[in-house]
Amino acid sequence: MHELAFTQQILWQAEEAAGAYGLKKINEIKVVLGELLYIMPEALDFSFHVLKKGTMAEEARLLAEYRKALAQCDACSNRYSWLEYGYHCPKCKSQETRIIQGMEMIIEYLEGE
Amino acid sequence: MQINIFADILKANTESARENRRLLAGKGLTALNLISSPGAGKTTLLEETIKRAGADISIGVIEGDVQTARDAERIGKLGVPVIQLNTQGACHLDAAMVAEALKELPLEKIQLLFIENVGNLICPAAFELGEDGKIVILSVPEGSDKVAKYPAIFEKAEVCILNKIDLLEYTDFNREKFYQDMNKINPEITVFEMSASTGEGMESWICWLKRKTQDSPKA
Repeated sequence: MHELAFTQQILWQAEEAAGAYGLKKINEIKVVLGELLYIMPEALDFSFHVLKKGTMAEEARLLAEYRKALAQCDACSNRYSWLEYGYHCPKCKSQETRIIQGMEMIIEYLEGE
Repeated sequence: MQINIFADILKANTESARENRRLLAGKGLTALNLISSPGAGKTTLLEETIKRAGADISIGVIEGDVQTARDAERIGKLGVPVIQLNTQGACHLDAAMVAEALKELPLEKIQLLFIENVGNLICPAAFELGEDGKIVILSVPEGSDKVAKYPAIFEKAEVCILNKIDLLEYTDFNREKFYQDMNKINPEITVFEMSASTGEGMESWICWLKRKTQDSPKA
């Protein structure tokens, strides 16, 4: 249930940013979450529903975009599923690979008035 | 009106972890974050490590648990400074909790700080505490498929302790598969096979700890 801690941070940052721009109300918050954070969408939605009460985001929607864990091979440029093959490129067997997606935990934007 | 933010969700934790790291480095401390499932043997490993290395390295401990001070009591009996953190339901320690504990510890006297995280292979992986390295402990009865099931924490760890190795013959733990999976997701990890309760295989872990703490200016 680290979703609760994540949601709290999302709300704090959104309120701070909205306050800095003089907004009174947040309508939407967009976040990007990588697969390797193991966020459960249902738990995130539930946490948001509970924690937004009494905040500027009380009526807001939380839009979460989930991104798959991907690796890229530096030897042959192949992109593949990191969860399936780890650091071993399935195409050329090179281990000169790196994770290029799946670790994201970003608040992208908020929309308010 | 749309406001673009593009910020790290855990920004506050990341900043707090950076502060902890700065404080610990300034005091010449090495800090290790111990992560495992509940019951993998973190506290027993700590007890046996303190008994074997405590004479050569001054050790301090932060104990993280959802509830109770039982683990801190066990460690306290060995005469090392220990702080118990109760997360009151939260499934991981965060950097701000560790910062509070650091205020209570005699940092001048400690060379090696163990931070025993809450038993959980998922949530602690996302929360940096300001540590120098993550040590993940997997016990044989949990099964060899844990590495493939929870890859993020094994990918981030510097060391994996394969604990309760004395139970290998009583379980269907597949050692070959374990190393295969580990090699796939973290080819650079150091694995120590051991049994903290029988003492088997502890020496190489203790040697590793001594080398690790020698890198710090206090030693």
